[in-house]
Amino acid sequence: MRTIFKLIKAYWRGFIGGPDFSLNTDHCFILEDKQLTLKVPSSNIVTGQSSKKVNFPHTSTRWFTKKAETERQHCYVHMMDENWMYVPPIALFPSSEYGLLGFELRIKQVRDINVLDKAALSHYVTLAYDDYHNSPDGINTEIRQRKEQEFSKSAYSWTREEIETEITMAIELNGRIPLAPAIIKKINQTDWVFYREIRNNRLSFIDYYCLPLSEHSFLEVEFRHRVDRSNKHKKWEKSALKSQEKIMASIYLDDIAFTQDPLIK
Amino acid sequence: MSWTKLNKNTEPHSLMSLDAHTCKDYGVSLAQNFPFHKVKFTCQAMAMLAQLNDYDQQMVAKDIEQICAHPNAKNSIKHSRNPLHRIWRTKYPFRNYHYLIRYDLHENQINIGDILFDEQLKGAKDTTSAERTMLYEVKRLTSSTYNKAQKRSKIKKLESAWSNEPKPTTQVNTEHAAVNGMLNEFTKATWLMGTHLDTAYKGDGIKAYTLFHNPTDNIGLDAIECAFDNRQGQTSHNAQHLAAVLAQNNQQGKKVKWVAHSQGAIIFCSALEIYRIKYGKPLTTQELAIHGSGANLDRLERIAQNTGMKINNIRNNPFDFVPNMAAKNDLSSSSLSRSISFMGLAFNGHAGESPHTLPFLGLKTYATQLQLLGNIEKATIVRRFIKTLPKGDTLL
Repeated sequence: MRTIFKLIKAYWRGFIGGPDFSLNTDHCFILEDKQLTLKVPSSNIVTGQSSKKVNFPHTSTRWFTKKAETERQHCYVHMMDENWMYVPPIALFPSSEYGLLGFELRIKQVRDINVLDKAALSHYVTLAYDDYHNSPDGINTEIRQRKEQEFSKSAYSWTREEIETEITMAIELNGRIPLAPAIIKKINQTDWVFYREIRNNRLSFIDYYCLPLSEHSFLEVEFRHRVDRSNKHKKWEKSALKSQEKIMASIYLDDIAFTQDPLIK
Repeated sequence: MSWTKLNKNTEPHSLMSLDAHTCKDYGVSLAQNFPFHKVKFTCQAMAMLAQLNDYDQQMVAKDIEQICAHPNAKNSIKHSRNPLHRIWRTKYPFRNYHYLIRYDLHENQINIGDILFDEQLKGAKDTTSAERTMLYEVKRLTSSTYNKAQKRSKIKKLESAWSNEPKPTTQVNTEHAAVNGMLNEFTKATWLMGTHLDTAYKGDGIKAYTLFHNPTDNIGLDAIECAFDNRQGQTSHNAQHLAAVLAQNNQQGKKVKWVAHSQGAIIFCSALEIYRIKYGKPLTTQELAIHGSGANLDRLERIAQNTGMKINNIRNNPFDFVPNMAAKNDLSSSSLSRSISFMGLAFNGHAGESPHTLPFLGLKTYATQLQLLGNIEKATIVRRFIKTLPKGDTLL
């Protein structure tokens, strides 16, 4: 009976999967003099037990240099991650999944600015994205060079204005357009810097929430919305965004009370 | 007597008139009824046309004929809204092809100046059904590869091992090439096929490969496409295109190592059948690896033998529903039972757990992979099956 009810519910919603908030796991991390706690809902993707680090000396440059990994413009130390898949109520073919919501918690260090100034941090995160893609090795530069070369060989004569219009269009279609400015979002009386990496012709996007920890280090929460089947995205899009908000609402950063029990006995 | 006429005034933008015979001298085959009297090409446009395979040339010629019929239309971006147009999979589903033709009209004469890839039509799209069947050159970004059971975080890194912004190409210019399976949108196809090639041709140190992208429409239309390719004489437009690519490689004497995954194997099988009828010359310079075959292996091996193509490296997981049941390669009761018990993982599972998505590295590795990802129950089933196999079995 319960299975039938679940199936009817899945058909009504149009999908199964996603974060299950009825089964949460509490996580706790020590960030020098602060304690980060959060609740992560259960996932429909099975995972093996892996050792988890709880202590992150985020102000140490040496520690950061040793542990950091780089992915596009992001240089960070990984803390934890979780993924939830959205799948059809009944699948008939391989790779039927609708998409995936990925969550990652990480620490970043920035030497050039004081990240406690949230306006400076907001400016920095979107600028880093633009700088990366417009750098000599960036995709926008590559598109610009390719189009310039194409027009120089063209059988027709083109004005500079026409060439620029074509380059802008090519970057909008296949390159990276500037991001919308980062905004401040208040969650649990804490101001987070929020920005979204999104492209014109893709449904997949990544949301980031940043919280300063010290003058040169900050916490970043990444929510990756990966769309595998574009015609089914509407079914799970709202649920994924709602789950994202719920997870964010469970995150607390407090000063460590020295009287409490040690985390690792 | 022999003679040579030198035309020293010829430049890339010089216009040239053609007819059905002269165009063949430039490596372009246009139909007898092509409006030669209305169209002139610049040398540059002709050079681009000559680079294309038969299928692409025919499609571009069709677009040029459309231009001749409507020379004053501002552009040709118009899609059919008739849903039935997409069901008949032998026909190209779009009204215009993915090349941009720049032309001018001069005294009722159409002068084709440039033929280029259309920026608006190439690559990934927010609606996957708008993606085109095209060749892309995909470059490696990192050394991540799938060569043993891996943690989920490492499997995630496979997704960024290959560029998801590959450049379109008119020909296969790499030593390796791949055809992806069904329900693979462009980004997934780029990294997944790179991973499959790494496994199929381990020692080759692949730095770049050519993706023959088989776009996905939706489950229903992809399934219809498979049905078309499985029926002899009803070749899908993808298979017709692939046959032309194989013919071009053969004509140029290129050595290409292919991998076909899932529906890609069905397309490949159908392409070989059409190749044999249309072109016929032995494909001795190209070889094929088959992973998670959606095609019946007997049929595929038979047609490969007939066309002279070497097949190596067949990797089918015995727990995978697709090669066992869908492709009718093993219809035994034990295979049915294995396929059904792992159907959930194949259809909805994480890439690492699925017996179909990532390359099959042997049953022992698959059991370890499931264990590592925490699926103890399925790992136990695989281990129980391993015990029934003789020592040294190729599946291990």
